[in-house]
Amino acid sequence: MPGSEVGTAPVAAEPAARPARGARPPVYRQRQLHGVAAVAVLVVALALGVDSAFSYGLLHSWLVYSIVGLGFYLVFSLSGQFAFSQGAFFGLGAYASVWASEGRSFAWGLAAAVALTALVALAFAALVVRSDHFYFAIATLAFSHIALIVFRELEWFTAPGGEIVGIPKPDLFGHRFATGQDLALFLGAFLVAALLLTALIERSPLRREAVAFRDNRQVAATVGVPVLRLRLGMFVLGSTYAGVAGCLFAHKSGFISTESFALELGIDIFLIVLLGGAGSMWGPVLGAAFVVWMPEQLRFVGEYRALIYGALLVVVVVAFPGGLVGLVEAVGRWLRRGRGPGRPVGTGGRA
Amino acid sequence: MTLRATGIAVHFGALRAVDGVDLAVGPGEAVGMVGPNGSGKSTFLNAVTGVVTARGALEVAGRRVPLGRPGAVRRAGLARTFQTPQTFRELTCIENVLLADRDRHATGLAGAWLVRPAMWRRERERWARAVAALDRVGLADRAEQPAGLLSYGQQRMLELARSLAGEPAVLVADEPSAGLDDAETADLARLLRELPAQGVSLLVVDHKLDFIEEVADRVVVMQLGRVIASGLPAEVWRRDEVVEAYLGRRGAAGS
Repeated sequence: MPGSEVGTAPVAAEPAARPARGARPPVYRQRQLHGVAAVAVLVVALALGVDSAFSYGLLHSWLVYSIVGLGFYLVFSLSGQFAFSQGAFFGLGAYASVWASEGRSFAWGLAAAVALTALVALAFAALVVRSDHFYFAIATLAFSHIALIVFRELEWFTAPGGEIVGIPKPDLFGHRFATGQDLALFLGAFLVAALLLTALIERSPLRREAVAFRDNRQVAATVGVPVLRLRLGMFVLGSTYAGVAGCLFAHKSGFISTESFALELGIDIFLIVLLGGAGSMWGPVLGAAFVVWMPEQLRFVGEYRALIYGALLVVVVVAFPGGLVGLVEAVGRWLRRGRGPGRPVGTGGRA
Repeated sequence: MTLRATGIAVHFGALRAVDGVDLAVGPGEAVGMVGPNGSGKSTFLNAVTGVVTARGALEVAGRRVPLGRPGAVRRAGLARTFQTPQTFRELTCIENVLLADRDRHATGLAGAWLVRPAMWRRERERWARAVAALDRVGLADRAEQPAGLLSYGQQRMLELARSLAGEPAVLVADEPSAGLDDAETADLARLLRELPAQGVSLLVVDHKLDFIEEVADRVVVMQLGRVIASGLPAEVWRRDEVVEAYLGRRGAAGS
């Protein structure tokens, strides 16, 4: 969780801030937009620089899982809702998109994925609005199981057994993004858009309201924060990110089955956010890179791969409670050391 | 009446924590509420602020407000502080105060994504008000620090600033002096005493009788979930039933 250092670090008192004309309230002085631009440059560089089909495969997966993770950042990290349903919404987006885009353009599929995941997420959240914490988590777990059964059994919507092959690559304005490079740029555009939308939330009053809701709902309500709207809104929003990612996943893979959306995916999504650093919107991007890339790097150890990967996860989580973002920040502080006082720590994890 | 609670009752199983309490706070009035531990003071406050389920009727600033709805009570003009200060530790002090601003335009997704210029404009106004509120409690120089770094007394002050930033018609304070040293208590009393003149009515629960006497025009004494006495502070302390209920042992020793 962000701000684990709070209470330990002395912070130099800043002079009273008076809003001058053109001055920006503190929450808008963060540099998320620079980060979004940096990711955009990185994605283009990777899309142009990578050459093997295998590397393109990893790159595509990283882009898609970053978007799911980013959605989960909104649901879990920012507004504190323990949801195992992110994988199910990912699946719903995938099936909805394939269903709606059959014989039509990809845009129909995307629109259907957004609309259907948003609607179902809203209906589900409204249904369980009285369950909190663990009860909410269990409800989302049940939802995931039901979703899997629906994917398998509702054949007119999915396919017999929930297995669909031969899904066409995405197309836009008559251009089909069929090559590895095209597809990477296409998916990268979605990640950049998702990051931009998230950054705009980070730089808005919505962030502080979500954090207040997360940290103490009752007090947030007595202060005047619209807790119900926040709760439903953030859940629907984050689930819709998952729906979009699912739609992209289906079209980039060309093949989906219910196994792609089993509970393991939900756990992986948790991992992506926690490993990357739950306190920052950049956490899911780093976490997804780790979860996609690291197991492949461990192929050389053969049958011990799962064991070593698991051990590595434990080491990262124990050694860096702030996740990979915390590690990056620590390295940054270490590099800046000796060049005057660095940025104060414990400012609420707004890397 | 700025605050009128009628027949407020809270039952936890067979326990009648609050058993039909009537209480009214007039415009510009400061009412103190005292009573031994377990007499139902805090539960009564929780009931009128919508935090626990209760029966009865509630009016804030002349408007009927449903019980059990913290948001509705807040919108009607009642703000509260808690027995242990409840600040959002990971937010900065100014963000804590900004949460309570009554101007809620462009605070949602539309403000974040669509109407950002309007959001910035509003936010600058909210920011100026929040700095003023922090200034009032002496925390303006801490505006951009996480609330978690504040001392206990400062957290109390921050909570108070947050409550006042919402421009309430009535402020309900639950043991605001608990955990404060003498100097801090004096500062707090001075601040609270100014409120009625500024149009904020006050309902203060506290254990320190001299503090209550300094802040409140009128005192209500509770015991076992009921109001047993009400009147001017100096006069109420002398009543037999109050001495017996609240200061039982000292009363017995003195007689």
